[in-house]
Amino acid sequence: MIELAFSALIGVLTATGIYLVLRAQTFPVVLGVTLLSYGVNLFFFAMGRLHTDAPAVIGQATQHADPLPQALVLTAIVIAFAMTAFVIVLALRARMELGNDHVDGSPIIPDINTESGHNHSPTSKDNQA
Amino acid sequence: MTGMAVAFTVLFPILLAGVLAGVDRRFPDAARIINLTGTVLLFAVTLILLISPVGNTPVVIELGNWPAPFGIVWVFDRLSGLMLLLTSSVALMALLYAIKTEEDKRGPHFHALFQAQLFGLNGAFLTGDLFNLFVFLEVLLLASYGLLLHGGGKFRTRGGLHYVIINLVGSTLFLFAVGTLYGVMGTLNIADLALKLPDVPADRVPLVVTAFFLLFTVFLIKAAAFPLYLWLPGAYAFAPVPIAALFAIMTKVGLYSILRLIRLFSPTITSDRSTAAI
Repeated sequence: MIELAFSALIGVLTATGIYLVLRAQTFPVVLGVTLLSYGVNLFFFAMGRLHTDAPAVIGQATQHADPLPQALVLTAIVIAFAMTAFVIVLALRARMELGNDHVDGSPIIPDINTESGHNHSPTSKDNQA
Repeated sequence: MTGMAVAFTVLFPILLAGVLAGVDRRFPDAARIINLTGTVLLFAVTLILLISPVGNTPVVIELGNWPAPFGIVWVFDRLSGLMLLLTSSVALMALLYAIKTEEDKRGPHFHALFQAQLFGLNGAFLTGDLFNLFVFLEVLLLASYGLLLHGGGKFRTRGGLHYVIINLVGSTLFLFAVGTLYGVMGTLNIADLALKLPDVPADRVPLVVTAFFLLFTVFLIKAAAFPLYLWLPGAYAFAPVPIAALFAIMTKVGLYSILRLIRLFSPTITSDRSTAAI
């Protein structure tokens, strides 16, 4: 039962994360990356198998959990945390420098349809070249 | 002695990065001299390591003296020696160019990030452990994010944003693959994985194959191979010139990792294909 709940949780976190990463604004993308990392951390933790009442130290109980995934997932959590902090700062900087929070620096539709949108866009193809 | 020389190529850059992070802002000229001296020294050590007979038999360094499948190992052989020499020689040229064109003074902490990048690259080329490879990849990516954004500017920020997000998703896939491998085989040491692969029960083989293809996908993202290269034009085109040169080595980490893994795992994959055909 706990296995089913646990795997459902990982599935929901990962699916939500992927959906959010595919959004066009930076804020949902950052949230999506965070959820993805939560999902993968739980997944990695579960790879040492799920136990109850089993400490990760030999000799403390008759049954013991595998300590390695727990140690590895700790590293992964720290790295994911640092990366999230970095990507938040970067997204804020992109918002300030590019003037909007679209991941490409400008929404595409006004770029094509209106002359003014084309001229003001900092990232139109002409300016890039 | 040879073990110390090999460990030097990884530990020296991170030590230097720490020193440079403190020196960088207050004494920019001293930072240049320290970084240049360090990179020349690194180049000399990697050159001597490659031309000496050290790599004829692989040198295995057990970190903290933990025995092989339990602790992390670094493995030095001819291939990793060649990659180390390539890294340090490109780094030396890139650094000389950066100093000549004053690129390093356009923003803070260029020299510290430069050495941190070398730490990640050298570690990734030497490591014999999949999770350790993940850690070194993250170290070199984090340093590369800083270097890519060095000096600032709109296009650099936009290219950097794509680059960072794609690599974060890539790292997630990497962890999924490594987790699956650990769950099935109970080890992450590359040599130990190769030993245990023939004993994987038949019903678990598809899981292992899935994990491998996930790993290869991640490495191909990092190597910017054909359909997965979309982050590269934005990142390379707007990166500072010496950094773009160093990035050329960075994409090779992906190819190098594939080269390391595919030899070990191709028997599993091909045998699975033959059973699937039956």
